Amino acid sequence: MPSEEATGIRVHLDELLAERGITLTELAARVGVTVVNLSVLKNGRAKAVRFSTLAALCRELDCQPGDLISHGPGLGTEAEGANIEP
Amino acid sequence: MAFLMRLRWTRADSVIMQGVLLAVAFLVSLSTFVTLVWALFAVPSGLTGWLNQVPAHHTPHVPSAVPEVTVLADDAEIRSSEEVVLLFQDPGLRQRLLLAAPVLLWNALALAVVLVVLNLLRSLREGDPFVPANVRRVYTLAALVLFGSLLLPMVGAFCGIALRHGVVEPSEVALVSFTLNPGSGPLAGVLLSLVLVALAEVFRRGSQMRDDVDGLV
Repeated sequence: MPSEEATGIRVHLDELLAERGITLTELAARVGVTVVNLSVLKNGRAKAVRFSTLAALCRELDCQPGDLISHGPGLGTEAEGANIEP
Repeated sequence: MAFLMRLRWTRADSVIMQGVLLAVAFLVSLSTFVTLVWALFAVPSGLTGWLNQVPAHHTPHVPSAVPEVTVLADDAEIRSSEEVVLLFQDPGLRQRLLLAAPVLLWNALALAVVLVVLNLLRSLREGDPFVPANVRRVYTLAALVLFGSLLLPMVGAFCGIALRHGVVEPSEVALVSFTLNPGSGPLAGVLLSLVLVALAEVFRRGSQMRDDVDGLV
């Protein structure tokens, strides 16, 4: 199961790369992370991110961590949001 | 000046070890084939002299001659040994099977160990040794060593007893003989299997740690 579905953590690297006009390879070189690892992050398969990596990404993309990562309902949690009738 | 020696496992080491293991596997397989052919097809026993003999110990009341070796020092002496070798000139099928059984069992265990170590080596070459499969492999090695160190002497002893029955005077040859010291068969094997169990635990924790950082960016 991809990490995104399991935890509800979504990574918006795709959108930020498109907005900034940077390729994944360029960003990987600037941040000091391998393209493979950055691809893992982009595709929602990462299970954890180092603070140093997060800080470097925010620096190069000129954004805040909240722009890069968001949290939504994960797998099996959507049923918990059912309306409760008074 | 401090001397630092850095030990590092290189690709050349993997190739050499694989070559040695494959050579051992070939020799063990060859030995198995020769032993089976000898046991089943009545190959003349003179061609495979090491197979048609079994060691034994004579009892103390049997006189044994001291070898005539010239001793040059005053504080040394030559003593006779209680070890004897029972040689079968023309063993029948039953005797051949009893003589071959311990050899075949040893070969089977040795081949199993070589195959497991080859698979371990392959995972090392692939760059990912801390995987659950290697935990199972090291536990398998521990079980093979323990099984072998306990079972092989027992099988040898039973086959020896069966071979000596009706061939030598029972009162003149010890039924079973063994020595208990760290270097002797069962104890050394048990100690080695304990070391392998500890190594398997190292691999298991390494596998867990690897799993923890899997997917870490």
